[in-house]
Amino acid sequence: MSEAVKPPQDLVAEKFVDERPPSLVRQAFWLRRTQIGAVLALMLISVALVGPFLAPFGSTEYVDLPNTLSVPGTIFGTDYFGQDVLSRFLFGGRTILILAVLATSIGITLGTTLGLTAAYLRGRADEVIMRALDVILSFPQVLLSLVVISMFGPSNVLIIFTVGLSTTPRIARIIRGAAIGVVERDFISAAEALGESRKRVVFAEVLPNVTSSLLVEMNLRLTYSVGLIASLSFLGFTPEPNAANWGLMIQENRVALTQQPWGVILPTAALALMTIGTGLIGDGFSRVSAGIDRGGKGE
Amino acid sequence: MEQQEIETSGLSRRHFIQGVSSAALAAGIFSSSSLNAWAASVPKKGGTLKVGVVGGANDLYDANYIVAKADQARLMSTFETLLTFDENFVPVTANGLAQSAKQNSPTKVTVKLRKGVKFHDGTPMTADDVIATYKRLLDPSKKTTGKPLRTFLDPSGLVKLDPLTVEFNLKAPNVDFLSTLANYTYAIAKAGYDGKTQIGTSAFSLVSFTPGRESVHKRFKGYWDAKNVYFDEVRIIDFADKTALVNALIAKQIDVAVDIPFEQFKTLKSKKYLNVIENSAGAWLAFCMRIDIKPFDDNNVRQAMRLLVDRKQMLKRVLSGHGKMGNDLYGYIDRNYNANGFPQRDQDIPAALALLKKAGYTKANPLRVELTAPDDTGGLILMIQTLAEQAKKTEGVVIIDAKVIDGGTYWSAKGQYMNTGFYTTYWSGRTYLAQAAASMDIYPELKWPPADSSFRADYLKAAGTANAKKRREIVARMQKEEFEKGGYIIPFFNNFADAYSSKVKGVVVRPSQLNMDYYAHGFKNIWFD
Repeated sequence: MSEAVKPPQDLVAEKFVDERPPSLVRQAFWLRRTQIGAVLALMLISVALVGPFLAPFGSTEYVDLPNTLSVPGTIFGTDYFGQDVLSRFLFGGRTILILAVLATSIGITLGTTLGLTAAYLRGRADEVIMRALDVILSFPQVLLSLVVISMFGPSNVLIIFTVGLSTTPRIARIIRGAAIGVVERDFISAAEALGESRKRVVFAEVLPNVTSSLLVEMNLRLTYSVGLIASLSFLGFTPEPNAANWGLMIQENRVALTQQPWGVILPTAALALMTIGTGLIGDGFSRVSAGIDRGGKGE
Repeated sequence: MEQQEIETSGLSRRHFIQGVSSAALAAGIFSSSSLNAWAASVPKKGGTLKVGVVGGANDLYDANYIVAKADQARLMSTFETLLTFDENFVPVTANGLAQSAKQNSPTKVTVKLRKGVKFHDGTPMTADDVIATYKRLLDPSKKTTGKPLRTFLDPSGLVKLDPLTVEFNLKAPNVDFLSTLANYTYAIAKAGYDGKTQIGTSAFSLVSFTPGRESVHKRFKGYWDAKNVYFDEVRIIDFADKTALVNALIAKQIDVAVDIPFEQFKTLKSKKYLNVIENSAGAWLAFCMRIDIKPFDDNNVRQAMRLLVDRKQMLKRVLSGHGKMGNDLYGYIDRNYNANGFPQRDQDIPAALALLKKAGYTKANPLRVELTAPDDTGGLILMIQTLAEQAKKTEGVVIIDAKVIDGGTYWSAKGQYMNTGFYTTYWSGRTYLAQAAASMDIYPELKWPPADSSFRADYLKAAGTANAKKRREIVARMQKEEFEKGGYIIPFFNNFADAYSSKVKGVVVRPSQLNMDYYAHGFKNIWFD
């Protein structure tokens, strides 16, 4: 692309302020990859949200002999427990999606607050916050969640908080990195000189200038959270043993994979498309914010 | 038993016909193809048989105690019992260590041992070893399955008549004592057996054993029935779960997969290089309601719960139909099973609601109970989920909170098993009286019988009654009490299935308590094509 050379951060920001160019989100959606991602994500989100109303059977209703492919009245047959695969699939996205969104929100809120605080305060506070987060970061995300959940037993609230907390340090790092450059700039000093409260400086002055990084990170973390929560379900860490849930569905039906593949194919495909979708959107955001493909037609 | 005296080396024709018509044909599992295969293949010597089982670090090795199927396989590969069961669960001497066994009276049994039986260390097996084994079973300080034996036998009742003859003098009459001698965990070990050094009399002696991994067994040259032993070596290999087990069989890494899940039944059956056998021998899964814990101390509640169950659906849902419907009575393999001919109990929500109302439970005051299952027993998890689902038909009068508990916690001394009001259990097939004893004394799951009941007295009376008709009457009375007041919900009797490479020949398909027809009695009688 023509603007392959990345302009210095300061110049970009000034250009933004002066010329009021199209917003990052709008720019990102000019890209084909973001569009495809959005279509995929929307499709899966609507399956997850509207699916339960369209399901021909209840999520735990007995239909016919387990693991049967051709059952009259069903499209994909029955699962390991004699339930309709399609209905389970339609019911199964909601929990994962809601848990993932909530967990990501917690991660984003905490991570952003900590990252901004560390960047703004610098010095000792920065060290304390970031080193403490490094401790959490040193555990693999899945492992940390597994340890906590196996200690206290699986509950939705715990899953949300554990996954949220385990994403916090990752977000905090990115946000701190982005904010470090911002806090040194003149308008921050100006705001401080005007006597604005520290809270206001951080959230009203610094935060709006790191939104691009935040958007990218939010998408990335959402993708990861969906994967992580599905993995936890797959490993059996769900509050209800027979809950309709894509991750759990894969686990439940994998034994009969050769006999009744739909119970595994549908949720796997859904999870894959969902993560690809949110991944593509995040990719679009990051390309635009990094100045690659900006204003272009995408590839 | 029909008569007081039974010579088990012969088979009474009447037993045979009765048994075949009831147990075997009803089970419908005699396959002509296996008989043909047997006829076509000429036994050959040699080879290493690799047997896959689900096992782990908790693997046991004992002649008189087991917990899991891996332990059964190892017990059967090293040790032998005095008698064994035939396909009608009549005790016989085939594959056993007794030359003959005779019940002289309800309190006296004489067993003549086979000549020339040697232990794996080369020493001959004698009456002393039999007496030592039964003393071990009778010793309450040893962890064995011998507890029900103690109702009938004291160590002083074990008498050596000559080096190859043992007399069992019972302290309480038991006309079915020969069946006790065929119990597979009452296997004969060398005198002085401590549960650590595994020296038995079987066709294969133990070479090495690593719990959770593998045991290796090599052909024992001094075996008394050497002509029916074909393999050079047997390896019993542990798998962490059934998926891994089945995959190993499909990939031809093992020759036999013990106890395959029904989900895989069709898939494995469709493979030409594999055989699948299904066995129905009265094994059962059940819900237990402790008759001394609220709310199940109220018989109205117990009966209502039994009427909530849609057994037909449960059989399909949990076992994919691989079993027989149950009627809250155990002892399916017993000729006195359902001696009263009670009609099949089925879901009857209005009747259940009426009983619950009597007990004080209505929509305004619902019955909310927790039902638990261990996470290590597949069928039980599906069972509690199915029942919780079926209870929804009461529209909120009965709310079942189905909880899956870690197996280690569940089965532990203070776990949900036997310590809570409503939980699940599983049993292998037994005759009626043997099961009644086990459920009262080894694992008192229900705290049955109630204080004012004559059940226990009836049990002792039935055990000592030789006349079959009179005995059936007593058993019928016991079953009536259990049917009307008992704490078990027995929705079905589950089959079990094994799969093995089609190059393994000689596998017998018939009703038997253990997988692979008692693990081919220690992996003899079968061979590689």
